Amino acid sequence: MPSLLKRAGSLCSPNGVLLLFATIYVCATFVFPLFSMLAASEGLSGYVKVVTDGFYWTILFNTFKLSAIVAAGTLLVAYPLAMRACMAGPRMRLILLIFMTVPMWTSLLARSYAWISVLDRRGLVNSVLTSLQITGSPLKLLHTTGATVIGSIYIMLPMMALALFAQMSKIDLTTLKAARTLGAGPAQTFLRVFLPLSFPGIVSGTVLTFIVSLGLFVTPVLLGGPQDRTFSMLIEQEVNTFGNFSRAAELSVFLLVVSGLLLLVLLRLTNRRQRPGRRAKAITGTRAAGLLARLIVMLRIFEMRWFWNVVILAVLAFIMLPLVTLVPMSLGSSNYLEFPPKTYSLRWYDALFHDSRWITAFLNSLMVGLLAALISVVVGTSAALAMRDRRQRGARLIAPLFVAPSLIPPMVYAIGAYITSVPLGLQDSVLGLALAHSALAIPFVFIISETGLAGIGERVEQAAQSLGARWTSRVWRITLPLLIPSIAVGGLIAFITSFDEIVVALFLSGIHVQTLPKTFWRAAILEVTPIVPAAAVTIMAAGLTVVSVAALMLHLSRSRAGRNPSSVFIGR
Amino acid sequence: MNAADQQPPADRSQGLSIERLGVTYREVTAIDDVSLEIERGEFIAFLGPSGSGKTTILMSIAGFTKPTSGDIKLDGRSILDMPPEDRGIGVVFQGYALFPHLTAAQNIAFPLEMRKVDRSAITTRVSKILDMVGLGDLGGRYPHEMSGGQQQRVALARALVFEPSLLLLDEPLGALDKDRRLAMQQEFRLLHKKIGATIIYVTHDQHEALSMADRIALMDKGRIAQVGTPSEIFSAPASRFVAGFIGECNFLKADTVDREEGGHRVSVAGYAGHVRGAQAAGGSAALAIRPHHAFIAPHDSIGVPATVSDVMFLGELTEYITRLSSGEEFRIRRISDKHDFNPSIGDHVKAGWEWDRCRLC
Repeated sequence: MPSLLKRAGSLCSPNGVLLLFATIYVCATFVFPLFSMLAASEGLSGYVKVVTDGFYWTILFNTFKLSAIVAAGTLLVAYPLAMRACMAGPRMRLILLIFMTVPMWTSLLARSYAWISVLDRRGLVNSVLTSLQITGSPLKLLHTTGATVIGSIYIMLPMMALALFAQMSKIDLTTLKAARTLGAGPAQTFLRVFLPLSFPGIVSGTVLTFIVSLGLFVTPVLLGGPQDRTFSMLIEQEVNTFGNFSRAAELSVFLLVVSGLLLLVLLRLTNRRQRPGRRAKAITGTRAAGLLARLIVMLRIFEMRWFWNVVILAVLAFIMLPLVTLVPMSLGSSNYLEFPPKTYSLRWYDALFHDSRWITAFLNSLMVGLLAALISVVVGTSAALAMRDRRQRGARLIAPLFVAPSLIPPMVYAIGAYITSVPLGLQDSVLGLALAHSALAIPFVFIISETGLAGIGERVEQAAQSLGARWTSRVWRITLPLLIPSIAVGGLIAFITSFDEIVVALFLSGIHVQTLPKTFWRAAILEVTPIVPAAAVTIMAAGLTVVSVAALMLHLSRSRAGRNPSSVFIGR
Repeated sequence: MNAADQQPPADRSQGLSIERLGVTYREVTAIDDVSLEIERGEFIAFLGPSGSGKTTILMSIAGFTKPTSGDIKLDGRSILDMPPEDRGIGVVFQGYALFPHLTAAQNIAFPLEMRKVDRSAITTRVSKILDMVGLGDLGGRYPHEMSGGQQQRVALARALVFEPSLLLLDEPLGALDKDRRLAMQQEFRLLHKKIGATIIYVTHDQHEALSMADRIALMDKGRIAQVGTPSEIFSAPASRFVAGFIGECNFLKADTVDREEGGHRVSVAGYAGHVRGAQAAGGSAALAIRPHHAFIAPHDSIGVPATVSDVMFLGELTEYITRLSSGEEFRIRRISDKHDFNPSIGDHVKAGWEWDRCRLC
């Protein structure tokens, strides 16, 4: 049985061992909890109840509808921004990229909460409207579907913009000049050349945004009304309100299966090996698109520079507005939120820094985050390293496993993680949280390390090999040193993922180990004092400081090594 | 130089033999039954258009591509089961593949460190080879602080410092500009004489191969089309592909081909002569005539009737592009300022050639 021996031999290679280690870890912390939900459910009768109940289908449909609206809206907001960044000179491009990515580095919770300061009865928009006497009494903007959609678009914007930018930056801009010399006007150049070439980015960005939006929980809870219930909220309610774990498990499996099937269909539809040309025809071929194209050409908006400047400025304002509004709100001295505050003081920061609950929560989150980052860096980098050799047996098949945790709704995983951790005594412990968070962070480390390895290329390692370096020497002396920037970025993202994580923490973080997001969450729901914006500003400022320092260090080390400094932040 | 004084040890290499090598990637045959003996100390060039399989052969020798059939032997022993790091073959990669996080000297020291050479010996050997490639005081620089030519020398020094008996060069001059390429070609030949290692050189540039190599293996579609010294390949191409790839060549359809002693009697439009050598196997008979073996004559002389369709002045040479009575295009090159008969565009002339330098293929 030579082939069997060969197979066993390839698993015994160093790459095989690494792959095996990473696979076992992800199976234990991610796959097993998902399967444990099957055991926790009531069995077939439970699923029959869920599937035959129209109520669940309604909520599911609402969740899909919200995701679709959010994905489309995010595309509309992100496209001009990514396109502008793609066309801009290096300096302007860097500025726009910073605008695109900065929100990603600040706490998701704080970002969602920030919209409260904009949309609240005493928030920015209403105070502007009433002081200009456009409306007599404040409008109800918060706790509406509109607020949910806007807040969600805001959360999804960086991901979409980066997906679009990644594709657009591959476009050879001379083709646009070529189109102009061949007689295409600005609008036709866009419609016939740029848009079709950016199409793969549109597809990947939209699918990704849609999938991630299916798990929306934090934003609709904070900004939405009762009609904006998502499926994740339903699952959380089963646990926290009714204490019905088996129903929660059944609902989770239900959501997972339905959205999994939908994902398969979407990938099937979009992943067909079509050449861009055919796609372009598909877009421009439909009658509606034809009409739209004619309208765009007629309106000559592509000739209007000012129009696009206004659009870009509006998008940038949209990105900065909530972050900026939070600051004055946190500085108010009254007992409730208002914009602008009548008097300013540092009162709430003072209260925050002297509250032992917040301090302990911060320390807990720091510990969990560091541990989770360490684990996910080791596992994620191992997996990427093992797979850098595409001939490694099984690598292709297993790769999706290391990306999957970032695609499933966090609430589903949280239920599974809770069910798994209770019998092991891991709930409400630093280790339990770190293990669960590491599973969620591994995809980011894995993808960034893979991108980094692709950038390094196989030639360098082949050179080392031809010069006599064995596996260990190659990895330690050549590959890992070159991968340090990617590992650093991956580790940072892993840390932030954990530090900012709320959904798993809702169940796994309790009396003993209360994390910062959990404390923030309780305060955001229960408290109306400016201590919450003060906490949000502090968290965001701390996050931005860490990231800026890291970026600066990375930039310095990279310019010493002389490689293009910005590529790490842009990612794939 | 010191390196020149060191005679290669007797047990170094008897040479490399490639035996019926085949490489197939998912149904696509990259290398098809290639056999070649390369003698110790030889400088051989693998030449061919892109996709002809030359780099695949190189990567099979280096150990990065696993052949699907056949064998590669170094000094009579098969190296196929050896991982690349144990083969001890120096490789200069396309694009150099220098380690960007190490200085030039650290790059060069790397193979010695892998071989557990002690520190002081490493230092002396590195500085010696830096001198040899003319980078004496640049050892402390990082690759990105060096020019393309300097990086090239670092890559070469790194592949040579552990004194491999076989050196593989994959389009090593591809990234350099023309002047630097010519200078480096000269240096490679000198270096080859100095170190005495076998050199296998992959290139798609026929001038590079013709001017540098002892022998050329011309590759086409995964097979070796012809192996021979540069002058053999140039003057006795084995096939139409070889004749067309190396130098320029006219191919004319022959009207009659009759076997006769020592070759064939060939006639084109009534113009007949004796062509030496056997006819290449297969295919209809075409007569391969290099432009500089052809001549142009007034219309009342012997030859094939032709009309001048263009005249290109190339400096020392002038090229006449003519159209024969059969409609075929025929190029003639001759020394520019040596002739009394200088036809111009539209003139009716006769085209002839030196029969004993032509080939049938």
